[in-house]
Amino acid sequence: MSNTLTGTGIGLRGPHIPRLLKERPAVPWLEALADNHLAPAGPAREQLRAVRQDYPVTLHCVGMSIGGTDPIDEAYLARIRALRDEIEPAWISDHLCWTAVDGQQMHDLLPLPYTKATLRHVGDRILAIQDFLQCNILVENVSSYFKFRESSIADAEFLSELTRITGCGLLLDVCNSYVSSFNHGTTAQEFLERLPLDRVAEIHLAGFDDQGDHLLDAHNASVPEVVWELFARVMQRRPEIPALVEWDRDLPDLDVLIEQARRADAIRRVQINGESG
Amino acid sequence: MNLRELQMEILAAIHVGTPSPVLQGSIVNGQGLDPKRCLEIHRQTWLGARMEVLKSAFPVCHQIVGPACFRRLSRDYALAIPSRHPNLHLFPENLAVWLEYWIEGRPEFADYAYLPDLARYEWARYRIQETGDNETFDFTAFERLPKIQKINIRFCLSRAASLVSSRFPVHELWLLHTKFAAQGTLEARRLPEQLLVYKSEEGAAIEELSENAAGVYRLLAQGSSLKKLQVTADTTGFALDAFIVRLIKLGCITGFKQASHEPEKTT
Repeated sequence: MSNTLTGTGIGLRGPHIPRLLKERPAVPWLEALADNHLAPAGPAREQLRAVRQDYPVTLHCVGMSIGGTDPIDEAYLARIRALRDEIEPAWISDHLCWTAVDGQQMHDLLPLPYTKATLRHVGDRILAIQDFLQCNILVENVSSYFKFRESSIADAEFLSELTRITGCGLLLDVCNSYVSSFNHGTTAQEFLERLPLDRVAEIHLAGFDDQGDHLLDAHNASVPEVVWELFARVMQRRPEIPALVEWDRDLPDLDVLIEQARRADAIRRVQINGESG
Repeated sequence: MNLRELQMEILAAIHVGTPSPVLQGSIVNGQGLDPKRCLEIHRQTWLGARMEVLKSAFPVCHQIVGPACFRRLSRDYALAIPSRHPNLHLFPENLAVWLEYWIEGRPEFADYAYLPDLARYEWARYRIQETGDNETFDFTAFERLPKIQKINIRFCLSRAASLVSSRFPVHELWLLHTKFAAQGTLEARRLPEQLLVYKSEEGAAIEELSENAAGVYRLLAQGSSLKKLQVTADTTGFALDAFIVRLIKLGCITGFKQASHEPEKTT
């Protein structure tokens, strides 16, 4: 795997694939949800193969259960590895969370208490996953709606320590950092300032849903202004980090995602060249 | 409480909708939300993801029972048959069997006896989307086999092909509730309708089978040898060769394998 991506890509979603294949719009790279393409045969895999002919791709996973306490699912990892070997993505990522317990799949990204014991546990699992896949992965900060009283390590420090222990990289989801900070009554700015940006290999940009008493990580809307502002601050420090526009629900036309990606690159260019947006 | 115990507590809270006192004492929210409300956010995601995939796999069942009932049904199914595969699209595979038990003893479903069969039919159609193109049967290799080996081979069926047997006209019912609307009837038949659901270039395709053909198909699905199929066909005068060729043409039979030395199952 190589980490030579530049600019802002978009998340690869089924309804957009026919147009991507037909028109080949100018998008620097695409991120595929690996779990949707694991079947070795079938339309989803075939489409990903076809897309890969024209675009660099990364693989984003939701099933490693990095913070889980069930045994690591090696059958799942073997399928990820087979997909990786065939598609040759720039990198593989998953989330700092747990997604299964007692053999039951939650299909949700659940939070962890940030303690020294959890750090050791998660560190060991990331090392085992990287050993199995024979490559370092990126770990993404998730949105959360509550914290645990026993947490004794700040979010940014926890991620920073994980990178030190395991050599993994970080996938910084700016939207998640805002959603979590709002829900916890803190500021995303503080989180971003404490995060080791030199370990961040990719940034996610997405929309959230204001539910009144909390913000929901819904990926159902365009990137809000407050997230653009946070992204601009990250770009001031590390304008070379590739970014990605994620949109999962209420999917708009492909042009909307491409426009959002171009806006991200305009913000990036301001920092690199001093160009105006 | 260690991490494992904490995760089990969260799982239980998501299932029952109320966190235990020990879990309540472990959770804080910066906006002042109480622990139950915090976990309700995850409970909604847990149920929402499952409902979405069930609705997508069983659109006609959803239409028939209505959104409120479908939500209750989805919740009960999710609790009874937990998702154990990372691929959420496999979660609906046991719904039809589970529905048979769920509707039993519920007077409000007295008129919906066809629902499990309809679910079986919809699942057969849905799984076609998840499978790849059919492999091509190797006639040359088949023809090259010596006769003694040929009679002992077992045919391989496409994962996209299913036999749905129902006393109700589930295909017509499905048509009634989709954009391909047609006239249909809900009266139960004396003999079950035997529908072969398979993958064609246009997507899911249907062929109605006779009782004899359905019986042979079931033997094929059980991995019976060609010899056993022939014996069964001979007793009813069924034209086995033509049926096998038809299944190959439809892509339902994709290959064959040599017989193992295991004794053949008797039915």
